[in-house]
Amino acid sequence: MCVIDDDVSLLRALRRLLDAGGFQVKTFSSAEDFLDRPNPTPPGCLVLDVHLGGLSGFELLERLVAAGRRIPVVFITAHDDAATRDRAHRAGAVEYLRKPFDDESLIAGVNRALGPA
Amino acid sequence: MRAGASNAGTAAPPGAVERERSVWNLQPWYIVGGAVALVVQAGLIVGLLVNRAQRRRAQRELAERLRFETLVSDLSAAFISARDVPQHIERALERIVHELDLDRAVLAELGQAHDDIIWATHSWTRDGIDPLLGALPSRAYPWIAARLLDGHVVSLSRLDELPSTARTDRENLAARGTQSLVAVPLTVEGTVTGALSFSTLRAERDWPDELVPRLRLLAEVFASALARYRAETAARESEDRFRLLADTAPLMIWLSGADGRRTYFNRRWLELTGRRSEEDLGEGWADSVHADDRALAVESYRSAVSARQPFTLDYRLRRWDGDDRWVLDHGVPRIDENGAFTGYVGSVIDITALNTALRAVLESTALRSAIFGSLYGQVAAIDRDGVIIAVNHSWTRFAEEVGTDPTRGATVGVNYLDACRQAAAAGDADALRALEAITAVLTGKRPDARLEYAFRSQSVERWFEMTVEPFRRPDGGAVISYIDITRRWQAEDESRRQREELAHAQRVTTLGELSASLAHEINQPLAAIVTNAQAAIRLLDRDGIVHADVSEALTDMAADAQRASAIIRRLRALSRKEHASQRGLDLNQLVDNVVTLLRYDLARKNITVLRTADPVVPLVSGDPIQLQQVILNLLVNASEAIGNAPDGPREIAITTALRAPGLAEVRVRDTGVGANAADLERMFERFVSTKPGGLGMGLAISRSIVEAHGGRIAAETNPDRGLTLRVELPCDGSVPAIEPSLPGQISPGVWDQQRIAGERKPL
Repeated sequence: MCVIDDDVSLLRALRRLLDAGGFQVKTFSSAEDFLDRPNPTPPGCLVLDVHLGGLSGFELLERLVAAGRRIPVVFITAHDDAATRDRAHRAGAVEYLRKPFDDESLIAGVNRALGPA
Repeated sequence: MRAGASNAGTAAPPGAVERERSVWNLQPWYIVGGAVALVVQAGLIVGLLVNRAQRRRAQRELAERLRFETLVSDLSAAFISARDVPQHIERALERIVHELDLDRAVLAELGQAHDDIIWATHSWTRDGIDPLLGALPSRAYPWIAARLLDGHVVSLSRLDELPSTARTDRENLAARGTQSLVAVPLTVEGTVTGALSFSTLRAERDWPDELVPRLRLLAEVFASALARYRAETAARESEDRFRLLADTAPLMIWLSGADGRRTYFNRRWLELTGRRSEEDLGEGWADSVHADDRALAVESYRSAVSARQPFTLDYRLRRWDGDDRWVLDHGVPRIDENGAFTGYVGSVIDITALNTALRAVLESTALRSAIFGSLYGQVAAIDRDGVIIAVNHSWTRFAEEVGTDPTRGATVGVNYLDACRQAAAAGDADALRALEAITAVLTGKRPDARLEYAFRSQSVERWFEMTVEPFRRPDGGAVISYIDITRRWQAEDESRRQREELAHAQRVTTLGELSASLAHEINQPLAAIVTNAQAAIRLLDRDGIVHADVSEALTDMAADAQRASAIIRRLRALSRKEHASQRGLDLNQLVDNVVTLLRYDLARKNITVLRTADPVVPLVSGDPIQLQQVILNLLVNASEAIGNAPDGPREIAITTALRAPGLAEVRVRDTGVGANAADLERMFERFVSTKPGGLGMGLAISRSIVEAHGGRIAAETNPDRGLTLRVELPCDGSVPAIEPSLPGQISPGVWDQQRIAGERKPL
């Protein structure tokens, strides 16, 4: 799975948490970094920040969908409002979490995204 | 007659003398040649002739006397009717002139003094002789006038017969061509009133002795006829005058005898009643009185008559067309020269029109006083000097209530201006304002005046609006009214409270909005803290390390971070409402809106707002609500700064101006407590306040908003007192205002320069 967030500090914390949860995690600080990754095998799940430096989380998702890749997404955001939440659901997000979120909520969301594999 | 007259002339005594002389002339030489015997014969002849002449004279005298008697009796008969006396006198004079073969006859009135005028009132003059009528100066004939006034007859056969002392008379008579003259005094009751004179101008003639008594008799007849004529004329004129007066008088007149029975009604009365005089005379007039008024009118009249007192009655008189006219009948007793009561003279006026007008006036007055009285407000009318001439019930009630107050306790007759002066001298600022307002209206300097003020009685504070309207009448004056506007003020108070709440909410909203912009940044580290803490717990768990205290510490850390986030979230929740940015905002309009929102609040705090706007309207882009919030903040701060100042002027000057092309400025200048240099530097920082109890957020938020709009905000200390805050905003350019407000003009006009007493209430 991959985690994309422009806050490096939070990105590190998430890696620690998901590592501790037993997940294989790759982290990116921007959507562009994610798209430019050297080994672009589609991840089983994306933990995606809505507001990013360059492309936003929604725009990234739209591109992936446009490219025919359906990756389950857990959205995380520090700028929570009705419009954002609405858009996340319409984009087909598995989970939408408001920062700061609870570890159990995140892990539950990731598990659901990865599906009953 | 004429023959007789000429016969009388030739047969006069001078003729006889002539004839005796001719006897001597006829027989001169018979006597010279004759003898003494002839003397006897001659004596006999003379005797015969003399005898014959005497007989003839007697016959003539008899004839003359007869003619005279006839004339006198004719005249006496003619004079029975006094009306024709002047005419008959002239005819008589003519007859005498012809019968005596004279030239002129004159009847004259004689003044009692010698220098009086002799009035020739009647005369007859033979044809061809100058007539003589009118005024003759009696001094022209002093001797003759004096003789006549003494009752003597003046008889002159020739002017030579006048004594030497009568030279003036002689000269004047000669000048008129008079040859002979006889004049007889006219005497009435022993007094000489005039003279009857006859004269010849063509020849001299003798006036036989027997002629004089006849002329005297004639004069007596004339005198008595004239006296009677004059008396009757005077009486007739007097009566005519009375009737003329009575009939042309603009009122009805009646007369009554001592018994009260009416003896006369003038034409106007009869025209009104349409009755014949005989119908209203006596007791008949009562029939013309309206049946309902008749008994009282007659009764009152009778008792006045029996008391012989003046009276005034009013009753309805039936007009000829059946219309009832209200009349006022005023009777005054008539007292004759002996003091005896002879009846009444009454005057009657038709007062129907007057009554109608009076009733209309009364009704109009009643209506007006009812309206005046029922007015809820307290109303007083004053004359041009300020003296109260009328007050309504409400005024009186209030005056009784407040009693001791010199202005509001004033009653009719009190000079209101003096009362205001007195109160103003005692330090009542409202009384001074009232005095100025009333004086301005009384002198016409202002068309009207209106002011609001608080009135504190023992228990409660009430608000009043005072209105001064000019009293539109020739004598001038003004109408002052007070309306209790306490309830209105309470309503305004309520809306002010709501506005304050709104302002407060806006400030909180601003704070929330500010926090919203920071929420993202704050939540990021908080999320990292929470995640790190929870990751740490899981890592400890995974590695089988059991350290309860560390786990608890990490759990608390995560929880506290969550709590901090919740606080941010709650603040954000307050700013959910989003405002759209707009272009072309009229900065003047934005400022005016805020000023209007605060007007009552500022008025209550006795703060004067001076609004000055640039003649061009700066147009800005941005969020109108946020920009208004900035202005609201500045005004509220200014008013609080003034509220904290102990005394001095209470003014806020708000100016909008185009400072430079593309740069608009709003300046808010107050006369409040001001700030020191250190405060000035820090006042825009968060949580810095110079106000007791201030949050220190207002100016910080204002700065955030202004800066978000690309502008800046600054504060400076005024040279005299207070602060000026300047907000600069980029503007899109400017358009000329449709109605440029010039600098110095005050807007909005309704509350120009109002200084309204009010207690400061902290917002």
